[in-house]
Amino acid sequence: MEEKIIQWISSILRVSVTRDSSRGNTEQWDSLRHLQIVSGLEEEFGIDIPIDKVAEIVSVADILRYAESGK
Amino acid sequence: MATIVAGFRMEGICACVPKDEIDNREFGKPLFGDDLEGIVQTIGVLKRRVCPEKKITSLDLCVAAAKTLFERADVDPASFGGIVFVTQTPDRLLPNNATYTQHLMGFPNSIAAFDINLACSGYPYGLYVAGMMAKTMQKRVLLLDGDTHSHFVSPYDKTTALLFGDAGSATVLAPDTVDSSDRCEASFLFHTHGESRQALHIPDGGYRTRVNPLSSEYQEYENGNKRRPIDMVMDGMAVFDFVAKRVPKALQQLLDETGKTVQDVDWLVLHQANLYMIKQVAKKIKMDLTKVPLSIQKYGNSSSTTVPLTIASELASALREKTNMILMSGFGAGLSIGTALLSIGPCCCPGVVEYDF
Repeated sequence: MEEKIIQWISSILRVSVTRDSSRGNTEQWDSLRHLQIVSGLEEEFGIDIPIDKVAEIVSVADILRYAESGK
Repeated sequence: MATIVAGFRMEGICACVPKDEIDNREFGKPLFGDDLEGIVQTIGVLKRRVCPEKKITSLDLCVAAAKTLFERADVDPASFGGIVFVTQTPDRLLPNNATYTQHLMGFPNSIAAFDINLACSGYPYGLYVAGMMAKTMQKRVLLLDGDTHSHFVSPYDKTTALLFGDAGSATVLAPDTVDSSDRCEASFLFHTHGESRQALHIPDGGYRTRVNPLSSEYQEYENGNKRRPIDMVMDGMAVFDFVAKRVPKALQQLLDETGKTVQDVDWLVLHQANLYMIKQVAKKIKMDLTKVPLSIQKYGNSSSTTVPLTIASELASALREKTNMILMSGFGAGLSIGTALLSIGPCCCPGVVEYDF
């Protein structure tokens, strides 16, 4: 699952990302792509991120943590 | 705390859009390349209408909507006591749009006419002010709400390039003469976060930084985005976070303070900022998405006009036929939120007309 999510995020950002990639260190990860990622997470993986948590997700690690624990 | 106003009702609403249509799936190709489809699907703006610059303005669109409405509703200009014009894109900085509307519409000189300068939160504010005027003057008030924000968006700035369309609207409010439990009540809630004005702003062109020789020169910013100092700057995540954390709470607060639940609401009309945001706000307050009309796919984000445009576009037959409890929220630059809950209809609603005057 973790590898699939990382690959999928890489395909959205069109750059290879790792667990350590974040909005701060990945130029391609702008606000539009961020919305594309969080909306796609629900459609592709059933990971539902509440609207008030969207801005708090800033890294691949955050996404993986959310996928694992739901928070 | 919510402000409840009784004593006015909506007699009619109409919207007007320019004929020129931009297809984002074509327009966005140079800027987004192969990423375009994913971005378009997320923001939801497939097409949008734009005014030819210097030829059609928000004043033209709103007056066209008003004239259409007056023809269909058969209202007498002499019965009006006020004109309220919500816009951030007036014909001129001086005088305002509302005063010239008095002349264009053939209203009597004994009329109050003024503009309200608000962006996406503007329509609930306009309803509040115009509704209070109708109630206290015991005369009809014309509320016009129109913007042409496409003119100050850089086509080279990915954050904003695909979002904005142009539109105008006209709403007639009248004193409510019904003195019974059927009397129309409207509830309003307003929030302002002026400390966040940098999240959505235009640097040059006001009186803090006048237009100067550099104002029209493109400069490069983060992610290769280019814009001029007279173009809109949007911190997309800051605006999203503001909406995410504040708008669902404001909607719920208004419901709670008026003793209503989402089950009592026929329609939730949200500012058409982007599709993902609209769906998520509705989901947060547990509103059935079939009760959330959308016009963003065909008209984009027309600032404060998205709320009346969505009502005129998607709810025209419902408004003509029955009374509808509508919960609405406009939110954006300021940062500012206007939230309202009111019953609308049956009333005159010709829908959306194309500008052809």
